[in-house]
Amino acid sequence: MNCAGVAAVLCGVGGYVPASAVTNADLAEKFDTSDEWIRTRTGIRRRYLVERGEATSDIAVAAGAAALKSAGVDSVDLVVLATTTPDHPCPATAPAVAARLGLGQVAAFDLSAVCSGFVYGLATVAGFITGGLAERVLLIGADTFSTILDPADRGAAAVFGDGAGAVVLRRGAADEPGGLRAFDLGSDGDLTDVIMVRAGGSRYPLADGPVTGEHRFTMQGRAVYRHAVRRMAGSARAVLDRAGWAVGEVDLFVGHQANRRILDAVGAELGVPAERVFVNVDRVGNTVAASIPLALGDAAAAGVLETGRKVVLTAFGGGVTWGSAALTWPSLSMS
Amino acid sequence: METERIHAVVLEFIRGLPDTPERVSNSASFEELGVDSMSTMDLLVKVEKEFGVEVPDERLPMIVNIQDLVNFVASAQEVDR
Repeated sequence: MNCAGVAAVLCGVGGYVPASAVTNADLAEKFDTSDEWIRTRTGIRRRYLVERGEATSDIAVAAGAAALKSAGVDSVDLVVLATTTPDHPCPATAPAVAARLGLGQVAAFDLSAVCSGFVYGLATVAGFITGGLAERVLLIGADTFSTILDPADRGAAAVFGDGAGAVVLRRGAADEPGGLRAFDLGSDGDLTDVIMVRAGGSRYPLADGPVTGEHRFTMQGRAVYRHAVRRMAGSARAVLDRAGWAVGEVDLFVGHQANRRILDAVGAELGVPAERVFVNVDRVGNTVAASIPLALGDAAAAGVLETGRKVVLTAFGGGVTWGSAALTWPSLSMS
Repeated sequence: METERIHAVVLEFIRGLPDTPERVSNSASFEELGVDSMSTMDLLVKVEKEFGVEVPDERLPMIVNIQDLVNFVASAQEVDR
């Protein structure tokens, strides 16, 4: 941040997961799998899924309301929703979320960077704030991947969960608690295919008729794992460099909660001890754009984050995209 | 023989994983052997380091069993020489 130390400052956090919890034992009734198989391979014990008819906006509104309450505010100038599973292909979901939150006719748009969406959103919002276009912003990461998975895909069912997480950011100073100090963002479009919903866009339009299976989510596990670890570690190093922080100074690394093994591998690559790598994927699964704000809310509620602590966020997602942010933790009231 | 050494390294890695079947066939897919995508990638990284080769992204999906991996490493080493 330049502009005489003006920065986006985190001032509220909230999260929401749907009511229906699905345990590994529940999945073992449906698929040829077991609790032990899922736990040893992914570290996940439980995930929450929306009911049919419950959409991304429904859970985004709940998370947004919790974040506004945590910030103690009832108005913002902008609502940004990071999602890969909007309510409809057109229009964006953010305006409906803003209206349902009673935020009036504010600027509102969706942002698409899959699992990196929340970090991309933070950087975007910081740009609005430091550029003088907004004073206070609600940023939500929300996804309902259960609506785009192949129902027969055992691996995907084990890994993904639905959820929404949100933060409120305000104009402030980079050196105050909650200040966003630095960002690193990147992409590699040569790897478009490794995380993809092939049909339903302009390349394979649904207007041409249904394309069996191709409108569902697919992922090339090996390539995703290889690049996720490399990119999250590399991006975290880049953001540390920009913030002027050493790895050892960081109190908590909050990585995209893809699965336990990716988080462990990124921690090992960076040389961060396990107790400073936050993990909540065991309780919610991979919630895509919601993963980092849900983890922040859980870490704050668990008392892991105290005012002034140095936090590094790092994510990797479809595109492929990656991003990291460095911030200090604010004084927050958690509901 | 180098292929035997490659095979031994691959087998040792797979036997170290949980729930590996008693008989590890060269032609059974990694998935059939209970080796998931992340463990397969860990195995490829180990082999890359140990034998000084690199599996390009586009080759990743083509290596489906032990035989494919041994063949890949042996031929990649051949090209290097």
